[in-house]
Amino acid sequence: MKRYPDLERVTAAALLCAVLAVAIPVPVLALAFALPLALFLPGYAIVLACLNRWNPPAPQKLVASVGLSLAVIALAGLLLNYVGGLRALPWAALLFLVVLGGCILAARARRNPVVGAAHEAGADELGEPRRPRPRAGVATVVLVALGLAGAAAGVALAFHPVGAKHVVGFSELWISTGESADLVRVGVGNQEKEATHYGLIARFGGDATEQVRHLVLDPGEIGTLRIPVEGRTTSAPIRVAVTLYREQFPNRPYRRVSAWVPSRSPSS
Amino acid sequence: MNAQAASKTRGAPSRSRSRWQGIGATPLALAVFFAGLGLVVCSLADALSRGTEPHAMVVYWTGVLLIALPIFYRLTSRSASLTERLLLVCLLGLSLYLVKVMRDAPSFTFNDELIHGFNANRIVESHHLFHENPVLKVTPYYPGLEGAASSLATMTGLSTYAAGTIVVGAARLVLVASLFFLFARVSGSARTAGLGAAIYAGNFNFFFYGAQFSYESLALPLLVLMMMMIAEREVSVPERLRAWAVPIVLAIAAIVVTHHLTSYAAAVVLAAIAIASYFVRRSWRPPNPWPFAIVAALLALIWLTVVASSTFGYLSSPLGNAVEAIANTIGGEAPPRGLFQSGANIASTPTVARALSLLAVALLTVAVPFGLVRVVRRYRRQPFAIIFALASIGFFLTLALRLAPAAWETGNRASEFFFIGLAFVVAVAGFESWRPRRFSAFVRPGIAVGLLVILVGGAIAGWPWDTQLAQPLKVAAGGGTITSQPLAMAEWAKREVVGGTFAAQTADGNLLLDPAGKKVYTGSSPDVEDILQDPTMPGWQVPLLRKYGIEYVVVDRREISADGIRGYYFTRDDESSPLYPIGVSTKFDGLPEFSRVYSNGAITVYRREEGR
Repeated sequence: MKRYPDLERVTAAALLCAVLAVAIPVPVLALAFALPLALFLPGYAIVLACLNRWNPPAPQKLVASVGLSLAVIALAGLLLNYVGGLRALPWAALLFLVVLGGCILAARARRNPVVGAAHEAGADELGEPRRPRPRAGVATVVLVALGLAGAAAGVALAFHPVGAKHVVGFSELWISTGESADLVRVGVGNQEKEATHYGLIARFGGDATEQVRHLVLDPGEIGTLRIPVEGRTTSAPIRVAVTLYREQFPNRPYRRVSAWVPSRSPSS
Repeated sequence: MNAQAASKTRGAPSRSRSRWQGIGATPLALAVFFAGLGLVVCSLADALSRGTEPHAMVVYWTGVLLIALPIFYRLTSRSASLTERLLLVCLLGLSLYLVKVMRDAPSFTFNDELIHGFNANRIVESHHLFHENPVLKVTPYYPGLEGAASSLATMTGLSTYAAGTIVVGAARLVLVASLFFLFARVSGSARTAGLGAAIYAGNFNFFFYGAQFSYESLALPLLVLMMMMIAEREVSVPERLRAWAVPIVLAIAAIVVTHHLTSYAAAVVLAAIAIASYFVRRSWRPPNPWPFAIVAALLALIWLTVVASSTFGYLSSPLGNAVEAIANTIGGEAPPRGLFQSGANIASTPTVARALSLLAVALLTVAVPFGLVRVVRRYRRQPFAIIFALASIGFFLTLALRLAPAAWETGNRASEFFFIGLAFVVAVAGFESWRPRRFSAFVRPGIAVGLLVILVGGAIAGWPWDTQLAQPLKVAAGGGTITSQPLAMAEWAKREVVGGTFAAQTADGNLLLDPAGKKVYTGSSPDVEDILQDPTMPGWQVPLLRKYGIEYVVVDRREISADGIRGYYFTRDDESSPLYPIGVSTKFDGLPEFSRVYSNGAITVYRREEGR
């Protein structure tokens, strides 16, 4: 491969991308190296290895490279499923090996004089008029920059939640009793459109014992409470029922949950 | 063959080109600018829709117009180069893909996306393929897309949403660019290729269904890539034909492990090209691609029988229903399905939109005979052109399937395959070269507007009108962000429940798959649907829950929760939201085996505990 600097560059690029894609801990930065490694270089290496005399317009070679790279990563998962698992390191290593293998085969093919002499269909047969490339004026650069900025702004706006006057807010109440025989965990989620004051009543063993709690939550906020189990007269499981009230409607139960608190083990 | 056709596209740059160059702006740069502007406008429309504000739809279609019309107009030009046309179709494909991404960001919201998102998450977490997916059992056995997404997700630490969006975006670029080069190779004209790729964007599934994170969104671009490579191989010198074997078989194998229907379509397409090739050349010798047809059929068959045998049941039921529905409709035993049907309480498609959609089909219908004549005159010695001509006729048969109730989906799914041929035939009709003595100045604008009608009409026909725009899933309120009831429930399950097997309605179940990552049963097999919709408790229900080890029953009183397209969003105070009877929930309250562990109003979750 030493005689072919372009193949050396492709292999080196694949190695660099494989190492940095795995090593860089910041996803967005790692993506800059993972993208060519996964979506371009494997296909490009295959095109170099198998279609070394194919002489299409450069963009067509690019499209074939990206498409074949997609085919490679769709298939490579099958191999990794049985060898190494679909983990970062095996992925990077396998994709690098595909590129390396492709470049080695391409180098061998280039040494074959018969293959080297063959003619392939070229760009001129795709209806591409040979023209000088137009120079990009200032207006072109500005328009493209504005277009890209518009697309970026559109995507950014899409990721940004906006207010909605007609949606109906709500509150969540949940209970978790599995952690301990002496504690009940109760959660309240405020999905209302404004800060809300809540009252919460926990009743153990029917109406035998009750505990009252208060909390204030902002929109989107979650509050959790740990309530000690009371009123247990035996070690048997005990029923707990929790009712949530909004303080502006103190007489109207808003949410209700209930569960069994597990029995105490004899040692406790 | 190509040189003659190609020579007709060559010529000196037109005056319009030099005028643009005079002010330093190329038409391509203008198209990029307008596409960016259109994307901002579409995103604003989505924001208005998420904000439950009126008039968002008008803004949205204005944005689509801004994206597409300059591209279409430039594609009708004689002066654009091959590279510029390619960039224009890529700009179109990518911009329309971003329209879909912006609709749903920052999460998957389509029925199939949530199912495949679950599969991808399981792969990333476990580092292995083939995990069970109780909602759509066949999907884990076609892991091509999820495997591909996992490569980016595991190497970078990106979410599967981000990785999947990038992979489908790359596939979208491969689709439009491969289509462009395929059409260019067959027609010998970059202009025809650009118009053909633009027409293909008018297929019913281009905007949304074909852009989602679902296996067909990767498999179809690979199919078109394979066709492009077959077309390139056809014009290759005999000594180099063998060189194409590895790339083509690689593409076929990737299709086979990615999507069942597309793998069968690949075998059929290759067989059809082989037969057409024989018809033209009277020879089975290379470059006749029959060996690839055999390879595709064998690989698909092996995968079906050895790995994905559940595909038999998955496909046979809807196909059988479709055949039965067609027979019933033709025999008069069942009424034909009305076009643009919408259920009760769902906004119907406005008359103008319906008219646009029908006008799009009418334009295609008018154009096809002209294209077919041109194919017979100019391209009858080309196997691909023959296949495209047959496919263009087949497309209209798929339209007929839309009139049979149970065959609608089959027709809709098949149309994006047949549309490849239709796009080519319409593109070669040669309207852009028409030079009437009067009104010749209106030809190019007229064609651009016609292409816009086909694009918009296809988008309207392919996706429900009321869900074209983003819906409120997460909303800004009081300095924080609040989430819809189903999403809040799913986030609770993800946060508070370790493991767990759930039964839920379709929309809730999909969100329990992704983002919650839970094992969940939905629908009628097993019949959790009746358990969740029936206010009474017949004796079979609790034993069925026990049989499948279902620990959590998610009862959603909103009838829309059974809708895998509309059921994920906030309830609105300006729309009616029918509810199931209160008994669907309270029937569990009296049973000691069930604890009411979560409630957010519409949705209540009951935990079933053995031995109570």
